[in-house]
Amino acid sequence: MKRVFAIFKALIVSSIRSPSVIFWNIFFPVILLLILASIFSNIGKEVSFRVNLVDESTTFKNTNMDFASYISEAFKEMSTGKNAVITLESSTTQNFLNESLEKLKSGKIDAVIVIPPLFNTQIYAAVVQQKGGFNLFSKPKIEVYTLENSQTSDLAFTIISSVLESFNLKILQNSGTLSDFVSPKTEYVSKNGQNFSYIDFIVPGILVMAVMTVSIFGITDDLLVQREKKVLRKLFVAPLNKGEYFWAMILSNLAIEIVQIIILLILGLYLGAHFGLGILAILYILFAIVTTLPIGFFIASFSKTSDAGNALANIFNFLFMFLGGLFFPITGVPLAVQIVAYIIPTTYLANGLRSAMGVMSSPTPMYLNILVPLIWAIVMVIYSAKVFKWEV
Amino acid sequence: MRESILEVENLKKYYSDIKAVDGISFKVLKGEVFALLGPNGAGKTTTLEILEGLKDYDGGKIKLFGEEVRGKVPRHLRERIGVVLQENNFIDHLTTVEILKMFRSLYSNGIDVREVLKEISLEDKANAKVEKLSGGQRQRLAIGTALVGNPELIFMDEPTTGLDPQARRNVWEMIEKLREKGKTVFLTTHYMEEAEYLADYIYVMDHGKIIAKGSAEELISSFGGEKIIEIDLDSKNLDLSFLSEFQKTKIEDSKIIIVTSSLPTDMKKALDLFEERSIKVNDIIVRQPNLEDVFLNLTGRKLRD
Amino acid sequence: MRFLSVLKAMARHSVRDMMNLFFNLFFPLVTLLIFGYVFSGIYSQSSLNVGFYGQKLPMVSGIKYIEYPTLSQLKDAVNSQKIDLGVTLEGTSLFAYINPANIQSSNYYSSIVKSIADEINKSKGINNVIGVERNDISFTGKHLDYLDNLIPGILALSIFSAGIFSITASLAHFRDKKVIKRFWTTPLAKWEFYSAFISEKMVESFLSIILLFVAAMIFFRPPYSIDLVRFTITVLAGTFGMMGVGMAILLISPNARVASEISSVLYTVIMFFSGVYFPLDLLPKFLQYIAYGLPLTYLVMAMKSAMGIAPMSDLFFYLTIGIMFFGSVLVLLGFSRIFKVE
Repeated sequence: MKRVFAIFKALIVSSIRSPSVIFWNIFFPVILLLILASIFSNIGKEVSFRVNLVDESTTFKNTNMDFASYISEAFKEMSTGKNAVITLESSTTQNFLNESLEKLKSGKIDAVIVIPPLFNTQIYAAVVQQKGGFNLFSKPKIEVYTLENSQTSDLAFTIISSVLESFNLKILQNSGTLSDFVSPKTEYVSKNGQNFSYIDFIVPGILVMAVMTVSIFGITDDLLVQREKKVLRKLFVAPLNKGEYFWAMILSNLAIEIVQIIILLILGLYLGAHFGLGILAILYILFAIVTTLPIGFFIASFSKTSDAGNALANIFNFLFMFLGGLFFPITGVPLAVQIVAYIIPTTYLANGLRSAMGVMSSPTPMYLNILVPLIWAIVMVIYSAKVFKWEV
Repeated sequence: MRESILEVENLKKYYSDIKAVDGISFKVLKGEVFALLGPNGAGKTTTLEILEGLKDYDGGKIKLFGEEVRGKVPRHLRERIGVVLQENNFIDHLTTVEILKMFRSLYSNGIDVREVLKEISLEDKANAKVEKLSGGQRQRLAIGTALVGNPELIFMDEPTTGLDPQARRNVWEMIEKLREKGKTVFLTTHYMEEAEYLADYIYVMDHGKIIAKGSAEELISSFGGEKIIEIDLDSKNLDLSFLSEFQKTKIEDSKIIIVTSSLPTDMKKALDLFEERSIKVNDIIVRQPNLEDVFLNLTGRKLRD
Repeated sequence: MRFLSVLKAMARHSVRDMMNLFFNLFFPLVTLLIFGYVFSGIYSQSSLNVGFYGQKLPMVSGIKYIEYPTLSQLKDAVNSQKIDLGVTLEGTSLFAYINPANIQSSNYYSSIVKSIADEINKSKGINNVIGVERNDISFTGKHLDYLDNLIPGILALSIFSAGIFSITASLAHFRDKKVIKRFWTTPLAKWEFYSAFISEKMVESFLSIILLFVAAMIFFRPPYSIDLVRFTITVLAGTFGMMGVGMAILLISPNARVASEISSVLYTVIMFFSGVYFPLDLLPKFLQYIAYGLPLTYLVMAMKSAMGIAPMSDLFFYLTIGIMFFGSVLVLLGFSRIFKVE
């Protein structure tokens, strides 16, 4: 036991003194959490769009029927003030339209709104015919030009159409046909009934990634690099057996993981994530740690050199991270990828942890969330124990 | 009188306050094996790297093949030298023969790669990747890369450090062969026996200075026909201050070395002294002095301390 | 011919180096395939599974309805990702339940819900007075999906890593192992070594990009219209520029190990901020400022323009390329700093 502790201390000290271990195990998950949280909780907020408005309307100018000018006023309103959602340029000429379309094409602006010449007349006619219940005149149409394949342009369109929607509502209200009008309301649903955000989803994912990374890179390194540098041989010549080194190694990685988990949980809370940390959640985190630890051992057992081990570690890490749905849900992927996703343990660990932390219901049954990672762990331990060579 | 290929005059190289090379001068004659002998940190490698054009110097003059050289050696002179660095690494994943061919192509008058392979006895490893070679084989390949350009002068920095005795023998034989072919070899070493065995002329260097020079015989005979008495005692840590009666002594653990010019007197005196103090003597050897003793005599230190 | 023989030796070294092949070729390829399949799945789902409770809802294109007997079961199904979206009509409100995990798709979901509401209104005889007609203007004239935008980004990442690691791993390794020192004592001129080294890395980078690109074309058939001149210039200038970045890293690192650690950290962090995985416009403002200061951002832009899927004016393109080539100055400066006669 004393020897285990001595080796444990040595491994911990060497980890603490190695900036790269600290970076990859502590800073990297933190940075990733910050990046993903800031990017995805920013969608739709704080973004500003560049919109050009072409008002070609000519009828009912300067009357109270000038809907076109109401609309352009509304957009102008949105482009002023501190929290302006759009930057607006507007004009009434055909030339400006062509210019704007050119700009849109080259990505300098995100959308172009065109109000047609007979707009006000058409609205008047439309309101009249809505009241009368007949359908003779063509309806007023506002054209919105967007840039294909641009997410920013998509968002701009959503905002523009919601503005126009509110005009529709107003017009309908005035014409007295509003009572039955159905409008959509969006709600985000979460398991615990709280306001759920993307951060809630990502925190358990990052936790699984973090414990997995420590195992994949840490254990592989402890075994392969030390074996290559003949440190292992020297240790085993000294009165130390493999079991003792093994436990010391497990403990030192465990210590790093616990520090890492605490930091990530605190950061998660600070970023406003909602999650429960009941006994079930803590037990499941421990379960995740225990079942991911053998991955590093497993990789080490079929790598001849530390270089090969590093390469394999990268592949495993990548597969387990992105196919395990740690950062975004994996839905609608091709069958082959889906099969892989439902074989690897991280899919189940992420589902299980999200459920245990009360973040969302697991798409996979809970018994599988326990069973699959456990089977992986047992198989990897048995295989590695048989195959791993302590000396080369 | 043979022509001198390399002349160094009052060479100096300082690193802030450390005098790595502190005003050394020497001449290397064509066809000789010249050894710079000294302990680690004496300034040998620095001197060598200055001569190879890898380092600049702070004072003095170097004439290589009669031309004054400072900093990087001009290309036409680099054609005439071969270099074996202390650390020998090659571009990984290449084979022995590929490495030699590449070096061959860098020189305008190189020799046939097969010939070099034979000379360094690596024919059976011709297609082996360099990272698979043993330490001795790597060293031989390094010498091969120095030979393949058919140089007149070959610099070798500690060519046998870290090699096992067999591999060291092989390297020595190769250097012998070079001498037979009339090549000039400049080598540094901290092995006495290496300098003694190989070198025609030895400069002993310590703390950046030359402290002695000459052939091995000359250096040894500077002791004036003295003999060495080596006495092995049974136990260590005895009070041996009485040995100050002798002119030159050195104590290492249980071994006592006495340098003497009158063997019978000193031998008797030593035995008497031990007997008086009832110190048990294990073994006594009388031998000729070697270079190790020369260095000991000059610096009071052993060479590999 | 000294130049050629060093070039040949370097090429042999690279081709036989399994680790080099792994990280420069195999790993980006795996990245491309996995991301390709995962993201093309996420963003081009053929039909959405929409659950509903209560009143039957009108059909709109692109969805499949699944009925749930209770509201809580509907919400549960959304929560556990069994369905993409849940809707229910209550009076004049059409409630849509979305799982926040699907935040990337929430816009699309909102538009689906809106068209359901429109259908309901239409069936009641209530029509919107003002119609909104959306016209997509396309730079390419083709429809591009997420993956098509991702591929140039991954190619740019590959150039980035090939350029940086050629200096901080490869060159630094040769320096630390004294391989370069040994060359200086031969008749090989410095420029012959530098140019052989750089040319070999250029060819290597170019070939691996081509291979990756061909793989992407075979597996995903993206509708690019490639500007070969821009493509070639981008790969070459990009490699040069990134070598410059690598050299800057090497100059501040004490040894090869530290240099390659710094580069892999940089690589991992930068790739999130450079418009490879998501458009820069979606980043928070302060991150956008960082992003526009990163060389990879411009490399991604140049690559997209070379593929003909994003606009970039000639002036901007060649200015970017010019700055990238400026990396060569850094490279040469670094060479002379590192390998000067002491």
